[in-house]
Amino acid sequence: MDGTDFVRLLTARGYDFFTGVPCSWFKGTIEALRADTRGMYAASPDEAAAVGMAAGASLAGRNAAVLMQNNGLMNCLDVVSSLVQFYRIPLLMLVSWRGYRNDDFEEHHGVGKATRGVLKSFDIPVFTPQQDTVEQHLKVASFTSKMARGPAVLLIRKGVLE
Amino acid sequence: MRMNEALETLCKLFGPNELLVSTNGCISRELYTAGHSGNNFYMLGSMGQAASIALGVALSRPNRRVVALDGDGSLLMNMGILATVREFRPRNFMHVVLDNGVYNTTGQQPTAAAVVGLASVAKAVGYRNAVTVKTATQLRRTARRMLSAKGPVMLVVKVEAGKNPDLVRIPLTPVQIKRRFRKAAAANVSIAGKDSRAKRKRRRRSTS
Repeated sequence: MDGTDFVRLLTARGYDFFTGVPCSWFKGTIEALRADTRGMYAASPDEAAAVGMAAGASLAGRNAAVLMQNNGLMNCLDVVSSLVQFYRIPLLMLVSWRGYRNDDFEEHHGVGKATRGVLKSFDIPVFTPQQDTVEQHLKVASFTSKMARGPAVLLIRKGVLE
Repeated sequence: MRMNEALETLCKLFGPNELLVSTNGCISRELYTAGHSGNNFYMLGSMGQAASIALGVALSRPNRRVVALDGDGSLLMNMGILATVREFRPRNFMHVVLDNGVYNTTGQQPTAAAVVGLASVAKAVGYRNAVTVKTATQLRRTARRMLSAKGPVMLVVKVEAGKNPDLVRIPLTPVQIKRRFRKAAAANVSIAGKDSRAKRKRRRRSTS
C-alpha cells in the first residue's frame, strides 16, 4: 500500500495528530502527512517524546497516532506503560518490524526477535497486516485502542507499506 | 525560596485559561497541595515527558495557555524537546522549571543543573524568552509578564532542595486525573478571555 493511500485510510478513521521518528519504510507515509495542508504531522526528537506528545494531543481532544521503528518502540516503553496504559489514553502505534526473521541489517536482529514477546509482556494489543489486509487490521487496531482506552500496535512488516 | 512557596506564588497567577502538566515525584504532589485544580495533569510516571505532553496539548489547543511544570532532573532527561519546542514555536507554551539542582524524590542526588544554566540553553535554542529567578518577588513579576507575553518562554525558578514533610500522595487515580484534565482542556476559555484580563487588572491594582 502506498503512503498516500495509507494516510487517507488513517484520516478517514479520524486520526488528526501524528508524531514520531521516521523509519525508511514510512517514507511515503510521512511524505503524504507532511504534504497534507491540515498540518497534522509534528515530528518528535525521539520516540519517548513522540508518545508524550501524542498523549498530550489525545488529552486535548485529538485522535493521535505515532510512527516509529521497533527499535524506537524499545525506547518508549516506559512512557507507553506509565502514561498511556496507566492513564488509559487511546493511542495508535504504527511500528515497523525491522529484523523480522533476520531479514534485515544485523543491528535490527535483536529487537526483531524480541518485538512480539515484549509487546505481549506489556499486554499491548498487536495487529500484523498482510499487504492486502492493511485496511481491516487498521480498523480493528483503531477500534481496540479506543474501546480498551490504551495503546494498539499496527506492526508493519517489510513491503507492506511503500 | 522553598518549592511550596514558589508554587503558591505561581498558582495565584494561574486562571481558568491555563492548563498545567506537572512532572512526577515531589513536584506534582507539591502542586496538588499548593493549588489543586482540574486544569492540572499530574504525572505519576513517565519521567522526562512533562514538556512533551504539554507541547502536545499546546499544539492541539492554540487558544489556551499551556504550562509545563518541569524539574531540572526531568528536563535533563529529555533535552531534545527544547529543540522541538523551538521548531513549532507555540505562542501559548510556557515552560517552568523548578530547579533545586537535585533529584529530590529519590534522596537529593545532584543533577547537572548545578553547573548548567538551563535558561541559557533555552535562550540559545530559540525560546522567545528565558529567565532565571531566585526570589518570590522576581518570580511573581516575571511570571505575570510571561503569562501575557508571546511564547514559547522558559522560567527557571531556583528553589531549595529537601522534601516537604507535609506532602501527601495525590488521592486521585490516573483515570480521574485524566478525565478532569480532558474536561478542562475541552472547555471554551480563551487566552484573551474577559475572565483573565479582569483578574490581572484586579491583581495589579491590589499589589502594593
